[in-house]
Amino acid sequence: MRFGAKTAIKYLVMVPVLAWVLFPLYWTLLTALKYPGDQKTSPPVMWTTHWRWTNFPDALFKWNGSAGLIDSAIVTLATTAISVALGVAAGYAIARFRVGGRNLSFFILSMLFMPQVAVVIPLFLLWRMVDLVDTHIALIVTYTVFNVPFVTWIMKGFFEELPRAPEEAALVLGPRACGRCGRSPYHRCGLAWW
Amino acid sequence: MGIAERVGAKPIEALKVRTRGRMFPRLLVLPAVLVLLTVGIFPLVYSLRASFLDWNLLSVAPPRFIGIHNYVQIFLHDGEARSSLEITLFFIGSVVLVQIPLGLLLALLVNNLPKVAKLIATVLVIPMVLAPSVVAFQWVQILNQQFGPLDYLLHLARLPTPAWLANPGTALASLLVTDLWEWLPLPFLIVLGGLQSIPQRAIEAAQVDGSSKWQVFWYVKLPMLKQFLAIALILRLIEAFKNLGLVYIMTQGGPGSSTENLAYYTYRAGLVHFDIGYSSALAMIQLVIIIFLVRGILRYAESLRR
Repeated sequence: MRFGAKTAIKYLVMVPVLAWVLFPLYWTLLTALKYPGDQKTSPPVMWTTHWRWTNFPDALFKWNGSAGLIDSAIVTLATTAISVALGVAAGYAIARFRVGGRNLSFFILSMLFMPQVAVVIPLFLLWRMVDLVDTHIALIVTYTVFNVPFVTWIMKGFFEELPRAPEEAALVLGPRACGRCGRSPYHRCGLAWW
Repeated sequence: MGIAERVGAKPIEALKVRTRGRMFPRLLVLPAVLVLLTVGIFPLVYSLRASFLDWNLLSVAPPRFIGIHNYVQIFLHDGEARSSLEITLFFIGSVVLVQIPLGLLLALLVNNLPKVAKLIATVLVIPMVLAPSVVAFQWVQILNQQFGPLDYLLHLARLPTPAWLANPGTALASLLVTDLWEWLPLPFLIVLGGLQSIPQRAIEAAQVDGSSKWQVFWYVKLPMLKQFLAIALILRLIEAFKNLGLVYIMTQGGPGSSTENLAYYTYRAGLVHFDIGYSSALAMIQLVIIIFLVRGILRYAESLRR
């Protein structure tokens, strides 16, 4: 491996960058393992070998962190599934078929711009109307509104970069040809079949 | 030359013919649009209407229609709104002048490293995947003058150890640094992806023509990266503009109001003082500003594609 001065400089520059990224994470991890006596000290304890492993199960069960985790998991998985499903479909349609022209894609994107602060109260009233306050569904739908545009927009960008030739081939030659096209994705073949 | 062309039909025509008109693509987009219309438009319209009212949840008086009075107040008589806009501009400035260029530099650096180092570089993405409130909380601990490691290390190096979040002069800078720490990976990742999509042939062609490394960068790589930079810019700009969590957790508007950005001011007006009309007006103004900004960037990015 040739180790010229240039490569050395590159590695050298990476060191402070990595330190910059990793130090706060190290600090958080360290604090997570500290005994109360070590936590708020002045000067702060930078390294300790007395690790309090019980902090972790305590956080989950004594302070009820697991309820929060489960809620987060439910909401996140549902939001992701729905956002990706809707967003990929919309992104594909906008990229390939120019549905709605520039206005529709900007409208979808503009949902991202909404200052959440303004939206909070009306949304709360909406959920109260349908009696869904304090449920997972309310959170899921709220997050979906902000995530579908994001997914749509990114997928639109990607679909625009994909070469059209395999798609056109699949359309014209029918679903059997999908194997010969190489990487024709499943949905393209589905489109041709339809 | 697509096969469709050889068959005799133009590509778009083939798509149209084959998919029986425009129904199918519209069906694909429909669910997304439906969700956005119902749950997205309703709060927007509601806010718009509220911004024309004099409506305070704490007072017994019912909401009263006052037209554009809220807006007039904001534009002409509200010094705090103006200063919060200034502070928001600081956030945006940090994104445009620091985060994006640094992300670009970092991506260029990492792109040239061998595979092993690239793997290590995936560590760089971690700050982005952490929950923003966690990052904010983490940095509050680190920036603490008495118990935090930062001032301790500075003290060892005989450098000044200010009270970062309690000092009006340094509070905003601390927020910007935290924002940088958390979001630098985003432009970095996007540009890195863009760098890897640059065809090697273009670079080689330029090098064969005798271009220096700088020329290769400026005339070959940068133009191809512009659309990725635009994406990163838009995403970060929107987030930086709306950023409430950071201010809320770290400084609550800061010593005085030195870190109160537009979003936090809107929050305070609406959910602390419960002046819904005023905060809705502020929110509408924010919305308009963002729309103009992003439209401008998008137009520019689209013009690059042609």
